[in-house]
Amino acid sequence: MATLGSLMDAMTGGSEEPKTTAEKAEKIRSELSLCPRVEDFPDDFVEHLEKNNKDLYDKLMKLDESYGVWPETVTEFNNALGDYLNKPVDQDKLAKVLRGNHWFPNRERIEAAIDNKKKLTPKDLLDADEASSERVESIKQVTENLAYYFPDLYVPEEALNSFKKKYPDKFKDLAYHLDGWDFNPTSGSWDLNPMRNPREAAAAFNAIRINYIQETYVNSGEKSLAVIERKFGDKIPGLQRTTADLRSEFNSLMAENIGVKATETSLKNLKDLVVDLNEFAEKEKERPKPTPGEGDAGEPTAPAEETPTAPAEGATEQKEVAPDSLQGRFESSKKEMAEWKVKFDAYLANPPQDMKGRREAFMALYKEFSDKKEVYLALQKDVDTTTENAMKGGLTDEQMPEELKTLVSEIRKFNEYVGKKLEIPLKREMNKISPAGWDDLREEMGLKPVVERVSKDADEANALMDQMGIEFQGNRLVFTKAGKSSEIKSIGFTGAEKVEIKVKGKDKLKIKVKGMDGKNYTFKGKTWKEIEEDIDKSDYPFGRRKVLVGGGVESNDGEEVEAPAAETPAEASTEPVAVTATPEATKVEESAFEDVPDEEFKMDDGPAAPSDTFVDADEEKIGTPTGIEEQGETLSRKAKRQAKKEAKKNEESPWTKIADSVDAADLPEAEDDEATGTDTPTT
Amino acid sequence: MPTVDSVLQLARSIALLSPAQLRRIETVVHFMSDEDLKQLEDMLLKLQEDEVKQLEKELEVRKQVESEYKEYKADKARTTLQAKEKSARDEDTQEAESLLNNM
Repeated sequence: MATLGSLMDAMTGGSEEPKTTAEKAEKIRSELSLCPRVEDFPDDFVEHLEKNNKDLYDKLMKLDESYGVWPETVTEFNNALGDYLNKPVDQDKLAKVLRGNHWFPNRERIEAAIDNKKKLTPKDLLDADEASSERVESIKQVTENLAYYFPDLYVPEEALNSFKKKYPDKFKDLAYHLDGWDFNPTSGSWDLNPMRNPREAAAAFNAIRINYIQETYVNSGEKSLAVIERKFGDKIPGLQRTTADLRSEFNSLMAENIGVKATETSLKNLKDLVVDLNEFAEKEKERPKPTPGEGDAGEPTAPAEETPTAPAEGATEQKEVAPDSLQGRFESSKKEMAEWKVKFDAYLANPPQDMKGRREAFMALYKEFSDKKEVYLALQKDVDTTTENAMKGGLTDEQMPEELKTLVSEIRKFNEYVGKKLEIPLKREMNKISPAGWDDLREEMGLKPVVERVSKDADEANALMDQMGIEFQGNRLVFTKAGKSSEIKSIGFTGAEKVEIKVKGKDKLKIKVKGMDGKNYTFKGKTWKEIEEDIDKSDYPFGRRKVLVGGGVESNDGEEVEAPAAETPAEASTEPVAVTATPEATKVEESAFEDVPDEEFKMDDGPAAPSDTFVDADEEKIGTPTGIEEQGETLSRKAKRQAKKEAKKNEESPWTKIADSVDAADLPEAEDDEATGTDTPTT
Repeated sequence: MPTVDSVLQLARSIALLSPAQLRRIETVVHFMSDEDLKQLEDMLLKLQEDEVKQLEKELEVRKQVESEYKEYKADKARTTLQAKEKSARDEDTQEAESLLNNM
């Protein structure tokens, strides 16, 4: 009969101790993979460690420099191996090996040596091979070596070829590192060094592969999909599949191909689909046949103009534009962003090898981008104001000045470009270099204040929270006694600037959240259930977490899905006394830090995609975070409602938050709306 | 007695041997006498054991750092809380004093 322990073991995967040394190593390695690295900790902690626990600090630094190798054994091993390499090869064995068709470098030379009865050593064979930079740098060898680290990964030859052609020196360095060599500055040569970690080079090659797929297929597919959506809506003439079907297939193939399980077939499927999409995008939109005499009968319609995804290169100005006019400022922003992109592309193509340098270079670029974006957002606000004033002055949509309409339209298109081409790659890079997450990095750079929990009656509030079974965990307020009766287990303050906890009338807890959208949200109650009702009633758009039967976790509105918390060090804080916390990075962001970009980067219509704000190519919708509205349908209540909806949909985009935080900073704080539990929006 | 295959398998299970290092082993094993092969296997086993020891040490250090971090974060949070509470108390005191003065 099964014991409880054995049942538990069966459920948890067993508690068997590893038997062999290899199993033991595997187990520890898997535990280690969950441990944070130096760069995962905030700098202030690392400094604190250096000052207060120098011994531990030194140990940690040594680990991250050498990846925990064991010099003596390795030296011994290398020496012994060297001895073996110098022993003459047994001719019979060599002949047997060659007959067995085993791979050997310079096979012809070996065969000739056998004929000449020369006393070959294995070292002779290897030297000929290892001295040859052609081998190490060959696409074949790089592919083989990559397979050593990513056994399931298909690496298209063209990806490596194109990189090698573009950046020969960088390619050479990476190829050598991947093969286990390290450059010795003293001797000026490449030495075999098992103490360096070729995994970094493998990860870099994987990133090169992903970039290649992104540039070659994904971007082109995205562009065509946007054109198809705009031109045909959901139904493409003469095609059974809808646009939504195509997008879904595209997204799934894209995710597959940027993962580490990409296969030759999955790439071929993506390639084929992109070819199809390009064809569909060029397809003519069906229109009623012109009646005779209408002229131009039978002439094909010019294809609908594509949304420009980049600032028009080489475009000449039609007329002189004053630099401080709205149009002039827009042109200047476009130019600035384009210049920044050149720098960022150069950085991506050749990022500093060491993590510290990479982070510094990234931060500088990030700050520069933020500054430019701030200027750009200010322009959008001014355009908004101008439009509103024109409306107040009695102008209807039709009567709006043409220049203004055009500018609004151009801004929308440019937003798409900024989202896709600048922000997504920027965020992807950030996720790679900052496992602690987006918000930590922003905090580190002083870009956004930390969420502040203010409580004047802290003792009372804490006591009441204890009594109610509510506590702060990192950046979430969690109901620890959540059971079947509770649907919302916690609320997060991802998009909050300030969280205020108050005690109302002795036994009522009041949680006031100032969101980065400029709104205040208030939830109150004597029990979590009552608070939950308030949360349910409100349109609080940030991370609220609903517990589903069966252990799944879903947001209240089914839009935001978060994995159960497994905190990174930067977020980890189970102390209920924590009063400050950075807005937590979502789990999606965390997983995106791994070498394999995750679904976050899917440019689909999912609410969590950071590209949402900008990718939307549907002309009917309003696409800017600051509410620049589409001409024609603009400035009406309907448009504003839609803008609100869009803004809510885009809450999880950190870029939107930057934009909103800029906006929110200028807005007066709204008063509580006690009746509804939600404040009247101030925007 | 170890075979070429078993030694190769062992070498391949040692994760931190680079492809080039492994290639060296793959080259020599085919020409080794049985005695040398045994010696190589012993060396690899030693290397593997050392790998485990080293990994254990690494794990220990990383866990220590993690726990230091938690402690550091909690301390920081406590300090902030105390400062805020103090500030709130000062505010209350001031209010009380002001009330008294106005009475």
